[in-house]
Amino acid sequence: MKKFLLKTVIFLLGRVILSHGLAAIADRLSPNHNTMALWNDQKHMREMLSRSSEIEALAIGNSHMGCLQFERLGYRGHRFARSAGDLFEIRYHLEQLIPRMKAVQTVFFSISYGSFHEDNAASDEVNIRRADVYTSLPSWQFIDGDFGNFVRGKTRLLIPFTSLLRKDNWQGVFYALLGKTGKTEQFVEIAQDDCSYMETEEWIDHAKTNRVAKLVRLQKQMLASRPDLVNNTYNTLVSTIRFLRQRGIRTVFFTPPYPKMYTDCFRSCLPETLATMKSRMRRLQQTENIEYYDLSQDDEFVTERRLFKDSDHLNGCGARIFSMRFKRLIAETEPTMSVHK
Amino acid sequence: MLFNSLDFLVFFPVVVCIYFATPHRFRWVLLLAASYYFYMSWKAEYGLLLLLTTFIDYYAAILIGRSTTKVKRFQYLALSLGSNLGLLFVFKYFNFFNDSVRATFNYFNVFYGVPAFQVLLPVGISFYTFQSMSYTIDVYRGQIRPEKHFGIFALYVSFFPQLVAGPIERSGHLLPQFYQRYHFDYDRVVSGLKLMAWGFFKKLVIADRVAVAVNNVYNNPTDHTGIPLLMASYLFAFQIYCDFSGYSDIAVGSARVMGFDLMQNFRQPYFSKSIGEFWTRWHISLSTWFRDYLYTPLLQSNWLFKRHWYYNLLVVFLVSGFWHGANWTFVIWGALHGFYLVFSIWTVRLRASASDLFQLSRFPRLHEAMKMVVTFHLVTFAWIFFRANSVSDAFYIVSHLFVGLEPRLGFGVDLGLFEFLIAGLAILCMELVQLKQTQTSVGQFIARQPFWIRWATYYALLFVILLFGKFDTREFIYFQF
Repeated sequence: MKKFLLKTVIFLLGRVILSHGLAAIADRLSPNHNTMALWNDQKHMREMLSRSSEIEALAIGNSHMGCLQFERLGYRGHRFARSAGDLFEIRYHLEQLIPRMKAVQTVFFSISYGSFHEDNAASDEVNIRRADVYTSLPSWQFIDGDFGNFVRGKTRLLIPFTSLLRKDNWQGVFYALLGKTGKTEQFVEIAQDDCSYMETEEWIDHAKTNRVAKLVRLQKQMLASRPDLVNNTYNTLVSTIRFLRQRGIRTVFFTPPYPKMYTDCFRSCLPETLATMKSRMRRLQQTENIEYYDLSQDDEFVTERRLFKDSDHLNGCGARIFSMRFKRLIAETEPTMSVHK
Repeated sequence: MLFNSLDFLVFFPVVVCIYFATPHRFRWVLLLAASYYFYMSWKAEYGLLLLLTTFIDYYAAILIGRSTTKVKRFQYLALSLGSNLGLLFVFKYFNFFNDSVRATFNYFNVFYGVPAFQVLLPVGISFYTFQSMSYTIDVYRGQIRPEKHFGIFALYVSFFPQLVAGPIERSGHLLPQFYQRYHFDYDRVVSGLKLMAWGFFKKLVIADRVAVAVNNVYNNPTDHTGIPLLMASYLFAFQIYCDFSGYSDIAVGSARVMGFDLMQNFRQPYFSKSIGEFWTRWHISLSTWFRDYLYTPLLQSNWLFKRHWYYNLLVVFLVSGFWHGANWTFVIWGALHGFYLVFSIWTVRLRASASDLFQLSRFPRLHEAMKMVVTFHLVTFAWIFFRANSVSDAFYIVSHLFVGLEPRLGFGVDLGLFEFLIAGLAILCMELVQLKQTQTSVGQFIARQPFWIRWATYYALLFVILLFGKFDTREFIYFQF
């Protein structure tokens, strides 16, 4: 038995070394989306923690948080737009980071149409994003009921399995080795001066087949796994609001602008989801007195396709205009509740 | 809980560690609890059915053992067989018969009001009921004594490595093993782990990869003609072999780690030189079950058909087809194999004459290769019916196999070039290993190599599985049976 245990340990050590070697090769030649998303998270975590004494405002949320530019808002802030981040993860991040960032006075939250129907841990397709939280954040605490993802996330520090277990089964890496450019995974943070946008057909296709169809599919998985998902996300948001209020931190909610075409598409495919978001935010205003700006149908943006990099995310130009507009809005409003349409 | 899941990767080492740390007299408790946990992780209610079968057969066997008259003994055997077959009928076949009767009534415009039975098929029911029935039949025949220890018997029925998809063990082989004391044995454990790794390779790298192409075609057969249908059929032959034998390897390997010896279920079946030989190499535990518990009794007791052994063969294969699923496609598949076997026996002399005529005996290897190729194609043709979603789909595929054979990119099966290459290389590698296996045990061959070759092989296998395996947890095909 001792011989077996010793050989097992040596074998596993060898496996870890080989795994890191192969992962390094794969990431250098053809990093996949999961890996790039994790790198993005880790980069932001490092920056936030290194500037923890300077940061006055935080914007932590899903990818739509990319529409806020702190330079325009006039804050010394940090924006952490996590691809597919859900409200449970936002709360976890805030609970772990706020105690370390004493200068934070304002937190910005983006509430998307589907925010109350998202829990990455409830879908096998995207629960890697939950594990990413634990990989990138140096903490030994985890969200209730999330032990499995916690172990996965921490194990990734030892064995980079998302770089090894690729959906393309290393096709991208082999193509890169052969000098071919295969289908590359795209994950790029929007640069402030990046005003690229999609052409109409591509834009419409992106909305229907890429974004909304994916949301429909994920939502079905998540609700099947967590029938009480909406209530749980709502309660999580309430506890987050109270957590920040107890520390005297101003909490600003907003729904970013969406193109009319995207909203119409969403309304026809997921009407209840949209209605739930609206009704829950109204309830939060009534019960928790929140500061909320609903700019989803803002006239300045809804018909301007050129301000969006894809079907629902603002590009650099759109983010600039939005941030300047948002700055005026929040400056006009007392830090209590307010809803703008 | 699937073998190819993270849950099992955690479950198995934990169970093994606790197993070896547990005193021998309590190990059956651990294994029984682990087996029920393993099974109930699908659906907790399934455990009740398993327990019901266990209770009935345990007491039926005890009562058979105590009975002094043949009539009484037969009654208790009938109770066991009736309850097991009754369970199978209710959960697996009721809706099939109900739908068939409804279709008949509808044809004659007669109202038929019996509703369908809305229930999920319990995983592995065909396997554990057959395993349990074999026990009571063996007790009835006086081949074994009834097991007095209820816990050990319950473990025999529910032993997790082979519970949901076999091998269907015999009581005389497995039951005594639960009484034996197994110490940690390095060579046996490593051998078991190697077999498990090989099973994962077949399942994750080959079966789940080619499944994509097979499903693309077989789920929409009328969208295809010619080469895609041909390619998907060939690929299915490898998919079902790698899926099922992969599961068996994992089952046998995991049992071996703990010291238990399960029967071999596959023996390089696609190297068979006849259909008869194929059935001594494919799903051996099921074919021997049917031989011992259906064919032989039919032959011995069936005075009407005693001379007409071919009726008995056809009956056995029809039942075997039906065992696989409640669909006419499986019955046709079984009937085809029955026909193949009967025809091959009838034509032994004719074929011998033909091989003499062409002097094939002068080229024994060529002759053997020809027989293997023909057998493989006969089996693959029958798989069309096994895989098709309906009889009409199967006949469409058969009638369009050679329609429009113009070359197509990727053989028209929507499997990218890279995926195709991986599948092809993996299948080639598997066949080479199996060819070597016909001469010597590959596991022992590797064990005799220097340390660096052994470890390089283990690492290579592990990383091929990690890099090229499909990890979106597809179920094993035979779970549906």
